[in-house]
Amino acid sequence: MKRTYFLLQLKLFFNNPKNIGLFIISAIVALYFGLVSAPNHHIIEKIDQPAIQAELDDHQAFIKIADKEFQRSANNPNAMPPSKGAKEAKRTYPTIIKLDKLRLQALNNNNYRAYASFSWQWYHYLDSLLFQKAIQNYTYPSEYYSQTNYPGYDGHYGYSRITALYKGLSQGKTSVNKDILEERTSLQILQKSLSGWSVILLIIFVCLFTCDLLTYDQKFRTILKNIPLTKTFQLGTKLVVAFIGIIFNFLISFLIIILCTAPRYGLGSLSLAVPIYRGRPYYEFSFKTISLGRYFVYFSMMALLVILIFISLSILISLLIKNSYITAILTIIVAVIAKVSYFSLGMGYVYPWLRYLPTTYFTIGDSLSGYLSYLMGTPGWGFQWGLMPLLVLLIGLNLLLLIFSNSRRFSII
Amino acid sequence: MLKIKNVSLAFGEHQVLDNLNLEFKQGQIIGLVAPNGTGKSTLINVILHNLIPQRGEVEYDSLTYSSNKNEVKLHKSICAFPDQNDLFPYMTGRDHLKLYADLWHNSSSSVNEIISQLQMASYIDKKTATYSLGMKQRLCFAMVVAADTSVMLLDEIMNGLDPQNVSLISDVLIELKRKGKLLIMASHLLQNLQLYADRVLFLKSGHVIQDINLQDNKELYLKLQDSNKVESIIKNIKHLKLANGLNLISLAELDNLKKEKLMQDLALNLIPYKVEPISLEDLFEIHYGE
Repeated sequence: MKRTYFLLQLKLFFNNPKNIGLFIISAIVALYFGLVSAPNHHIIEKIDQPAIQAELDDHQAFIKIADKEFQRSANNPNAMPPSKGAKEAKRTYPTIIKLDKLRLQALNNNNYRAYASFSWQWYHYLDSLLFQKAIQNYTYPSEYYSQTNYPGYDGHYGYSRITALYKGLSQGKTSVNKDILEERTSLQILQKSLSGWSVILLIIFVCLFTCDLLTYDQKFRTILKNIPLTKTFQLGTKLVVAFIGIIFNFLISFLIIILCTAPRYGLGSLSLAVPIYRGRPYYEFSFKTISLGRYFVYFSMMALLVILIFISLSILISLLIKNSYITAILTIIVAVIAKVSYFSLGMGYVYPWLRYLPTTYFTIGDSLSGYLSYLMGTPGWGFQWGLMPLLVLLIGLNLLLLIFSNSRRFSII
Repeated sequence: MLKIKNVSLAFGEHQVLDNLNLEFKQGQIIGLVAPNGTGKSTLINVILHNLIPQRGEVEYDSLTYSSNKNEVKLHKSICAFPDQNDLFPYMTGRDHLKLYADLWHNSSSSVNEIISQLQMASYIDKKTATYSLGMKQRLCFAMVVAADTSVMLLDEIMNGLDPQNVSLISDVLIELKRKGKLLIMASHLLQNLQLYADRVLFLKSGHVIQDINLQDNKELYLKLQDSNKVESIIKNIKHLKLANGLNLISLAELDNLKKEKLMQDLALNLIPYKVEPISLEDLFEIHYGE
């Protein structure tokens, strides 16, 4: 009997014209992402052999000029002392030139592991000069200045991140290639894109999938109204069915993205390193790494909680207000409220208690990668911190559902 | 036994059920008769607990709708005829029957028997979106049969059915009654209802204005269509004139002399007449005729 009701609800979910529309839209969005958006994604720290060569040539030319300045000054005590730039060049360029030569040699030999190994040292050294010593001879790439409000910090975040990534990849067991280093493989694309507004968009899909979980039964009212099953069981079944349908939709979308990107860039590996920000910019290494597989396990755990929260919330609102439009609007407001309010204002630094709000963690990827810690300026906005508020909210919502489903004032249909 | 105890229900100022007290036994077909909008469907919905009365309660086998748990228990025993517009268009008729059989814990083998009994084999495996109104109506009835509950609430099950199907379903209803089911039916097909109903309730202004046991309804009436001649013949005889022009004369209330005289007059004037028990249509005219 219970299995029959479950299968019926599954049929209703997958035959609901609105849900079919959402499946199609999801597939189109995934295709667009896989075929257009991901390949055209601009990578700041891309592997550019001519650029490295040009930089090496510049540095070598400049150090020759610096050498002349020093020579002139040594030969003639009345001459102008060497400029500050020349002094810095003499002090710092040899290391950079040495690393650039090794990087180029590694690229010429197609040895990307060696390239990663020399590059993380290169980025780490350059970042220490830029961020900690603030030497004027160097700048972060222009993209860090044009896209954000905090170029110094954003550049440091970017360089520290790439340092950790390259270090992790160079020390890992998985073979390394250009696409892996540029994080273009399918699994890396998924990891990087599942954060910020992308995740909010997925949650909006959850809201749209679930907004008529109860009201859709009105179309079949006299068939479903008086079946001998408790309201709690019926609501629980709807929750499970919606969860299965949504997971199915997301898995299909991810599969489309993988099928679009893997032939071009490779699938990647779950043992690849993922950099996680540790919360303080002044650590020697601001990032640690975990494996992609572990990252996806964390992501899945938080995503399951977030999905269940929004399904439960939709059911609860629908139980109280039998209107799918109002349900959709209210749940979408809950989904975006953190992103459009305190995130955009950078209030985390001022109000650290925001870390106890479940809404803070709805973007998932931002929390897991440590980007949230970076935005809020403090450690402690990651997986361990996010799990508890999400879990508490989920339990709270389901307790309310239990109470309301046992109330005789609220009917399912 | 199903009991309706002191049930009152009003929509705003409109009192639909007013302190109703009724008892229904198993193995009976109960007809609910009234014009549209006078409480038949409301009473069925109160029995199902889809409408909660302001006063009174429904009791079946000593259970009332006092808790969610009891509601589920009662719904295991009570099933209502679904609306044909509510069928799932992308599911077959067989899917619907299996659904109801499974939801009410019945074996799927009974589904095949029902399909054969109701002669639905030719279309049962097609999606219901392709069904005609009559086919859908038959399927909805079959779903209730598949649920096989001890109480079946059937609101206008004969709507949209041709005479053959009415006869087919009537046979199944009699079979269900024989099996001890309690069937409560709201119907406008009074001639048909008369064939198998044990008891018929006429509702008006929230009350049962007549509760007739058709098994005991043996009293014979002389039935004459109204005309000037008829009027002159029966002017001195106690009779009841209905809005549809039918005159009813209780033979039990006439002495033999009057009976003979009346028959002679009718024969001499070639006036057709019928002698039979009062019918549900006659009673409908009595209670609701303008």
